[in-house]
Amino acid sequence: MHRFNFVIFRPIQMIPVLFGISLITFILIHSIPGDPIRILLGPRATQEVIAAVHAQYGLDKPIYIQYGYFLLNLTKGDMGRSIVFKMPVLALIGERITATLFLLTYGLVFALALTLPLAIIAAIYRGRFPDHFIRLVSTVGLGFPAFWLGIMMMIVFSVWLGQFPVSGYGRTFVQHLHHLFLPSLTIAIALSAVLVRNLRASLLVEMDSDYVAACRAKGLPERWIFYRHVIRNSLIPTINLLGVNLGWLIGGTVVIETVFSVPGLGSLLVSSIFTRDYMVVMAITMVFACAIVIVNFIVDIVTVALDPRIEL
Amino acid sequence: MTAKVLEVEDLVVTIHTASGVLTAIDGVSFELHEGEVLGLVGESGSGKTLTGRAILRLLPSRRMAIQRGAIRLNGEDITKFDETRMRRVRGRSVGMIFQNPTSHLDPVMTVGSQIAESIRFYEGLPRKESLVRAAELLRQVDIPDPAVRLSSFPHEFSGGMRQRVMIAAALACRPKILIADEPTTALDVTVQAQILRLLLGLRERRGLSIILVTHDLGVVAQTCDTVAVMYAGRLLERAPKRNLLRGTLHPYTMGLIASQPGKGKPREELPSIFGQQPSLSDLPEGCRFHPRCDYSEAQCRAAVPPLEEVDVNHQTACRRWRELAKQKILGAA
Repeated sequence: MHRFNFVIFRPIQMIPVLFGISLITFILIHSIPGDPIRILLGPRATQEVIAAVHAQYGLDKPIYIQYGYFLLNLTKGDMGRSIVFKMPVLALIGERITATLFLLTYGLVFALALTLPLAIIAAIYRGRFPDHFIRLVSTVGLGFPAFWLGIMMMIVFSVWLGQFPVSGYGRTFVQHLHHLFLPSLTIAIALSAVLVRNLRASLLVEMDSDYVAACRAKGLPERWIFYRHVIRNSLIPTINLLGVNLGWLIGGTVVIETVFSVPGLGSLLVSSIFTRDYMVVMAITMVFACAIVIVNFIVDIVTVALDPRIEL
Repeated sequence: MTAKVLEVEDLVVTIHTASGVLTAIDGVSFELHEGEVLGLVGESGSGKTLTGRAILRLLPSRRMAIQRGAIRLNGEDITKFDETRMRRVRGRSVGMIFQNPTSHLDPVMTVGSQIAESIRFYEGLPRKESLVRAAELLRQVDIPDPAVRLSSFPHEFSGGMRQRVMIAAALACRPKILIADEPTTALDVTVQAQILRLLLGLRERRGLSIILVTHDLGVVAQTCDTVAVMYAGRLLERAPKRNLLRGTLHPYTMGLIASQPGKGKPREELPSIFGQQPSLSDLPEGCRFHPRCDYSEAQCRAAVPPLEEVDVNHQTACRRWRELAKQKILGAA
């Protein structure tokens, strides 16, 4: 299958991309004023102590040497130590990544569960009440910033109605589902608002297309035509939009996790930026960058699988 | 005379628009016999495609409706059928192929599945067996390596091959009538001839009756037995091909024939019919062709000319045909 050859070559192309991202992030984080050691040791620490700890973490070396060490360690699978948490960065990320992955998957499933039926109903009832209503709701959904929506839902469902916890992640799978319901709903609303409109529009285009007329002329019922032809054709543009938005969403977990106090990578990233925990910021940025690159890779694979005309 | 398989009688199709109800097809009648190839000829907008669609009750817009008339399929009026019964007519009694095979095939489904799907749906055959049938159909439309090509996608075929695929899909459930809506217009001339030959071959082998919608009198000359000429939603003339091409009894048909390029006719000197077909919202009184007709007179403007029987096979909607034939303007030279 030569159409899928890119599955082999694309990962090789990703290496320079990730290299570039690491370089830019490294320069950016080190250009922010502030010193992690001073923050950590507090205002009363003496110059000698600070200098000693600097030397311990290699922070006394010129920045390009530090970057060199970072790359060298990376090849050994070592992302350095967290200055604040005093543990290897990889172990720290390992602790936090499950919450973020859970949240993203949950949000994505939720978003698809909202998008597919809503877009299909809107397309089938085009120009009638259900269509107008769904389009209105999705426009309103587009207008709300995610953090605001999250806070409002927290006030209503957690504080007033007491149905959901205001923070945390829980221990078991069921607890995860319960704790992350509101954050993932926030994600789903933001994502669905975009996707519903796109999928509805592409369903309408496909429902009007010539091959649908040809299928009718073959005597196939509307339902058969819709589920076997129209949906698959309509999903192709929407899957690509989903890919773009998932990239945005991975960054968006920073906000969502902060609002809902979810112990994931996003909230860790924010606190690490405040404490100038360089290695943690670097590592999380790299994880996010990899995730976005991988998501786009998966979207490409799905697109090629759905649409036989596309060659990458 | 062979059996009548389809009879369209006084068909009227209307379009609801913001500015009122327009009549797109106005009282069209014709019949189709077993094994006959009927050419439905006319300019763009004459209603010929719409007539083909109306027979399957697949009008392209919800604003269009069959207002009046009967479409009798083996004696049964299908305009009275409900949607479920109508679906069983489509594909099983009457198949249809379209002008642009590229857009009328699903781009993301293999041609095998597209041919096989109506077999699967109507005969409940499992996937494998329906694909065997699809391969057989591909072979019948002269596609080489049919078993291999089953798993190809439409974009991997040439235009002519795609039209063959569409024919195979339309014939999957063995309809006896095929409506071919400009099947060769999007194809180049050599491929055109191959597709027309294929259609004629299928008529022989399957006893198919074909309604060939076309604007191309060259195609008509190559394939049709009978021709019906449409203009601005009305039928102007109906005759066996030979009678029509050699001795038309309508000035419009005469104009159409004269404007065909052919041997001994330099392209730059081809005559054309002046003016344009009238808009449906602004139809002339009387004969709809009169503003463009060289021979029109007061009575042509005053009343709608009926479709007169010249003989059993030949009908014309020109009230001056006798006079004009006597003057050797119309009719056999």
